[in-house]
Amino acid sequence: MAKITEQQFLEFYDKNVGKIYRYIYFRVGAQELAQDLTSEVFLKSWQRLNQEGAKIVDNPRAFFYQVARNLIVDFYRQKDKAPLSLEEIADRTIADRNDGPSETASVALDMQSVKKALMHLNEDYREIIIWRYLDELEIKEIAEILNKREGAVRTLLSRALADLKGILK
Amino acid sequence: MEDKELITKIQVLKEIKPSEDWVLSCRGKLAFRLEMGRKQDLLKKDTSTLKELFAFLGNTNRQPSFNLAYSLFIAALVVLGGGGATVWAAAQSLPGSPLYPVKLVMEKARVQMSLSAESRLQLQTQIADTRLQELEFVVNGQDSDALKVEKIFQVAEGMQDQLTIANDELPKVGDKAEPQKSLAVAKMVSDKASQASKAIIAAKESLSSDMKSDLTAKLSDAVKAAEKTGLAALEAMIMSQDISSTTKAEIAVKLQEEIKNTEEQVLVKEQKIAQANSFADKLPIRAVLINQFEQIHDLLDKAAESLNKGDFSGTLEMLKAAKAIDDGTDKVTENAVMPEVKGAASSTVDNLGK
Repeated sequence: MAKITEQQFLEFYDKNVGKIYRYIYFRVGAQELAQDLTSEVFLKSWQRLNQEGAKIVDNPRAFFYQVARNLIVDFYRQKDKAPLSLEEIADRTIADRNDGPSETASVALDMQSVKKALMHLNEDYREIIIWRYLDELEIKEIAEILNKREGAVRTLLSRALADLKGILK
Repeated sequence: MEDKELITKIQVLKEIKPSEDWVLSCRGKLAFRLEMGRKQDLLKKDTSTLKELFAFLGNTNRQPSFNLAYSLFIAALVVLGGGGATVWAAAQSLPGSPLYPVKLVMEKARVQMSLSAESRLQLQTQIADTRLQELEFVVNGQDSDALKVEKIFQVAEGMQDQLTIANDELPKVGDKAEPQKSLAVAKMVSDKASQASKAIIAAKESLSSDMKSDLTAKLSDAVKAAEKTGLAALEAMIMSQDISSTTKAEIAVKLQEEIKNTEEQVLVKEQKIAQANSFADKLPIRAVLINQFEQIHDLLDKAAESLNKGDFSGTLEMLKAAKAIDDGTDKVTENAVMPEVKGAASSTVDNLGK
């Protein structure tokens, strides 16, 4: 992929901001923090893509997720905090503010069971399930983020699903 | 549990999304930062900007120490890109200033950050007012004609950009919003476009004749953009629902003005053709032009008839057709009144036929 233009970058933002936000949200558990970190992801990505001598990025989505991962790690390192577990995230109300009370309860219940199950997974399994089934990343993109072979990613995904299935039973 | 069923359960979590307001606000800030970053890079690389700021150092007459402090302050803002102070300095800048392009970028970013088409258009009309004031400032200033030409062109370019964007936004205004609000915005745009066109032409007229010819070609695009936006705004007004009788009267006046302006433009060209020497090689072009001028007059007559009958849409269609033909005759008219240029006549006639 050729060096990205401002217009292309903003188009990428339009298509992917929701996914990046959701990924970060599941890692940090707080809406405002997820918003701040998401903004930071796009700013930092742009700076890195445009600095002198920057390499051409073949897979922008994988690149952005790598930046997001690194920012989350830095955040916890600076704050000297342990990452939030999904148990803590699961306890917070997540449904859209605009929903009425009944919709909020219904959505929250559906989500609750899945979240709790995801909570019991280890972080690697949790992350890969979010990327594959929520953010709809390709196997090769996940492989690039994790710096693994595609075969290894498929195996990881299969084990993650099996674990999750076991928990939800 | 099947994998499919499990994946469906997982995908319920797709409901988790950021709020639309935050997404738009974040995008606006990002776009602004990208633009400011790009402009800062340009300013950093532009050593002539800094040379201009420090030009007083080469001056044998001692400048007051205030000038040194002021220039250092501006240079520091430009190079280091300090937030609020740079923004303030750019916002005060006038055509010819090194920060003027930054001002235009900041205005564009403000418009992009607006959430609705109407608020964007309202901002655009406010910015158009700023351009008109800047144009007046330049015309009434004490600069040499040569410097005025450059500054007028800078302002006209800015106007052209805004009017083009306003033109693109107009169809969105009536989509969901209240018709009265949309109508008010369309009126504003129509007024500003008309003011812009007159102001640019008046600015050109204020210059000496040799400078006027330099500016004509440069400004024609800006004037055309103003006319195009004005017509589009007029169309938006005509398409509005439930317009009052006052507004209908306003629309009628604007249409009448447009018909009259187009007539005058064509008459000027006809006079040029009539007064110029009749070179034999130019006869084919002139014949085609005369034919086209007749078509334009015919369309304008029909436009006037439709207007008398109260058919605004019909009037506008005739007017647009007349202007489309008129636009095509500009360069050809210039060519037709110039002395012989071998080969130009036949190729120009060929082009007209396409």
